[in-house]
Amino acid sequence: MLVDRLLERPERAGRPPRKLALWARLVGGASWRRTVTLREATADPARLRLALGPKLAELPAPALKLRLEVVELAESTGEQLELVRAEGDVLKGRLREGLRQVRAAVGAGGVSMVVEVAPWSRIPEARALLVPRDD
Amino acid sequence: MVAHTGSTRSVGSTRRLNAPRPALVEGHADGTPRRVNRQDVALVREEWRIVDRWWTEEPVDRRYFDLVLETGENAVVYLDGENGAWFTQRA
Repeated sequence: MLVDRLLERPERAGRPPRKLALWARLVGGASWRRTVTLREATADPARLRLALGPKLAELPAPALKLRLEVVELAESTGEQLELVRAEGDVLKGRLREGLRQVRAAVGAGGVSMVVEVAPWSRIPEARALLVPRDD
Repeated sequence: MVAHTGSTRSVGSTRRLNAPRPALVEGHADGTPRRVNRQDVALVREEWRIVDRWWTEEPVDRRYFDLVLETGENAVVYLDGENGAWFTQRA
């Protein structure tokens, strides 16, 4: 029911959730929260239930109140399965989406790129830097 | 251009790739490694020396060894001539 209500929200504008959070108020007054990062953003209720179900099993006590939050939405609204190999902008778009998933899962700074600064250097650690990529 | 090379210092969260890591090395009398991180050395494949930046305040003086350990694992270690410490690094 929570999943259906969440998917009906107009603010979503067709974009599928990438990261969700389950929040609960427990008997005794304590609160509980777990986040779920989807490997692939989806608005398929069955797949969302499948991802959220195991988290509910981690509830340490009976819940008085349960809330489902969208932490992050994907930018694309859907993807056609391919018959031909992707290239160019499509490939770049997928790479960007993959990088967004990694950031959503591990946080800012989770994606870095190697920048060669002195590849000719005889000193191994002077040849390249790992620079966080947050774009 | 990289200003400092002898340390693992970083700018913000930018890090050096392939920074050296301290290694526990026991050596023979001639300075070649006998044991690396408690594993015996089976073979010294190659040895070379890097002397660089001697005109700066952070000179580089390293004696590198490309090794095969008894476990079959490859390892590259160097003795830092500036401070006498051993490090491991992918060369």
